[in-house]
Amino acid sequence: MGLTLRGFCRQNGLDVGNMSKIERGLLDPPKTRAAQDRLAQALRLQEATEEWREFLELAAISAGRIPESVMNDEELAPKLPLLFRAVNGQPLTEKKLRELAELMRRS
Amino acid sequence: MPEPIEVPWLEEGQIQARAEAFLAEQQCLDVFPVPVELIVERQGIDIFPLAGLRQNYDIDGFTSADRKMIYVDEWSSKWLENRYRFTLAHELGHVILHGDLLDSHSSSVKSLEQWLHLRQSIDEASWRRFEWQANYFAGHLLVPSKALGQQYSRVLPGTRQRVEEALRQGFRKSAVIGPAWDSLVEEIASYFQVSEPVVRIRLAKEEFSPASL
Repeated sequence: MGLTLRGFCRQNGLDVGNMSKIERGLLDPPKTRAAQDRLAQALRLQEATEEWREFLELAAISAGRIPESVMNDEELAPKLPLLFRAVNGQPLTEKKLRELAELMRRS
Repeated sequence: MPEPIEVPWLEEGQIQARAEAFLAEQQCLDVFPVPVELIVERQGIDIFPLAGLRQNYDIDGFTSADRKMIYVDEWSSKWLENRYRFTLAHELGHVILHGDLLDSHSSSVKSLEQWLHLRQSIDEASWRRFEWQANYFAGHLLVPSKALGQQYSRVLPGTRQRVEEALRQGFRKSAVIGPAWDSLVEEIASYFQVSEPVVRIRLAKEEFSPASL
């Protein structure tokens, strides 16, 4: 579609954070048929086509899965950044670094 | 424990060349404003908005060690478009300039404690050098020299005309130059979709100054 994720979400009134999590398997896709239809329309899938049916099938399969919403240390380690773009140009304290790691663990 | 990180010395010209080569690779040398969000996603990097990043941690953004995600402050990504774009360009700077170096250190990190140790082994002077390099890269990525020169040449005649008109009306030169320069900066910033301070820094670096008015 030539759109960035944020562009797609803005155009269709969707939340970028939630869509990103759905893409990464960290959040269930929408469970209700109405919400799935809305997403299919946003993706410009034609109703009753093979693509449309496949999309709904995959949504149904994924909705039955329990996603891993909290990372363990081994999963978290490769995500932890070494550099930050700081607003005030000050490095983070150890306390803040620990808090941030916990925030990332849940994101 | 992981080894401490040594920051490479990079000259301004080297960083500029890397930024322009990267834009050329992306076939975006002549596309303005530079579609930085699209470029990030083309690298296979997801952009994830985190609520409260700026408010609680004074952070605009960061890249995960595995280079699969750029986390940005959610509020900025919604309401501060220019700042958001610069953050993405800055993070791309880290990926392009420092990615391999950071990888070689991050790959040995297996726990939160090891990460804290490695993070704190980067002293403030080194961290500032990393950040300066990424900022310099971002400035050249979003406002490349050639395009800046072209925009400056486009905007300058009109600005000079307005200055001359004001002088004819009896205004003092010292009172006219400042606002005229501000207006020139604003117009160029709007073209590149960056903040005015970014344009001021880039203009100064290219040796364009209010004296030319």
